[in-house]
Amino acid sequence: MNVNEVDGFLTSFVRRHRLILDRVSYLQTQTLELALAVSVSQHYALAGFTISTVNPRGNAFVVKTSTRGHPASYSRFVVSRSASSYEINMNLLVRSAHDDGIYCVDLAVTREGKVPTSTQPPKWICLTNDDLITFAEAKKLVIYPMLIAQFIGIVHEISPQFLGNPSLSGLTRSGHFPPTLVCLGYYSGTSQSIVSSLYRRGIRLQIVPDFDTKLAQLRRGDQTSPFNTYRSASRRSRPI
Amino acid sequence: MPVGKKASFVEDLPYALKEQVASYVRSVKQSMADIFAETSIPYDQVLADELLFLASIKKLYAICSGNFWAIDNSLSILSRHDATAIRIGGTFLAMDSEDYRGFRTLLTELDRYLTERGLIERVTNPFYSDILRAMADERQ
Repeated sequence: MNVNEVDGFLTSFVRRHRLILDRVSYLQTQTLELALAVSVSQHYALAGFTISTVNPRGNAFVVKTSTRGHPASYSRFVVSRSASSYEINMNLLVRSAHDDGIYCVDLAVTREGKVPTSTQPPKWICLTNDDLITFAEAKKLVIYPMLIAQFIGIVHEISPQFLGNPSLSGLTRSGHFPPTLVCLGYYSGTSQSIVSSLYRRGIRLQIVPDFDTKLAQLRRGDQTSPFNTYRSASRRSRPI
Repeated sequence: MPVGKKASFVEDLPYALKEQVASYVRSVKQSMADIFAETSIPYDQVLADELLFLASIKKLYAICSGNFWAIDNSLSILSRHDATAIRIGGTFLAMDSEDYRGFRTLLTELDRYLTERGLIERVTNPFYSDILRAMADERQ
């Protein structure tokens, strides 16, 4: 590789496309949440599900990017295989597994028909905890120890069944994945050793670093779901 | 490659993207000893610097590709259901929108250049040990 020549081209490339790179930067958080939803839909497609969308108005897929707003005003995916159907909703309010607490998860896989498609009464408060299958969070951050601890805390409050050494065979046979945190960053500090110890400690969740590089691989035809990393936890874990 | 030379193009990126590239390169740098150990290739500063330079390209490519992938795949899936646009807050994205064309141009141009230079396989290879072996072989 001629480093100076490549660097020269890329410098010119970045300068020529500075405006569009600004748009990439500006939309990155929202696009990350969209990417999370689309890649989860692709996870289900790879598992043999058919995918469809429900859009609230006309021909636009409306991305829910915050906790505010009624879910019926935003788009969702519906995934179906045999007699099983589930929905993929973005920024959904979910009831705690322990008390009356309500949390907003970036992405929720729910039983079909449990999130209203109309804003008509009765007023919808949140998803019942029993109707949540699994969920995912997206962060535009490096993976640092407190982020992992925070995510374990979220799993404890919303889906404690993934803690305490459960078997995941039924879940994965159904095509689902355990609670997952995807990040644009890498493992920092001692975070990789923390993640490596989770399985041994009976904590069934996934942390996906450098999610955009996984998307790049998926785009180039990789048939491996980014949400199946726990299956290959013992394989090479070099940052990519 | 001169020892210690950093990728100049990173300095011209928008701040948030520059930080992401720099942070990623730091993570690869922290793993460098392990990468060399995995290949049994003796540590070599020039090879290490070249690998870090490639890491910065990998991250730039991932940003451009990941961004376009999310939007293009969404539009592609949605088009099968008569939906032709994505609305994110006040931004509309469709196959004929200015943003979409810009994102596509960005990725297409980068992809073409890296392919012409024979770098695309390395940029998309998830295993640094494989990339290092290829770089070392290329030297011989």
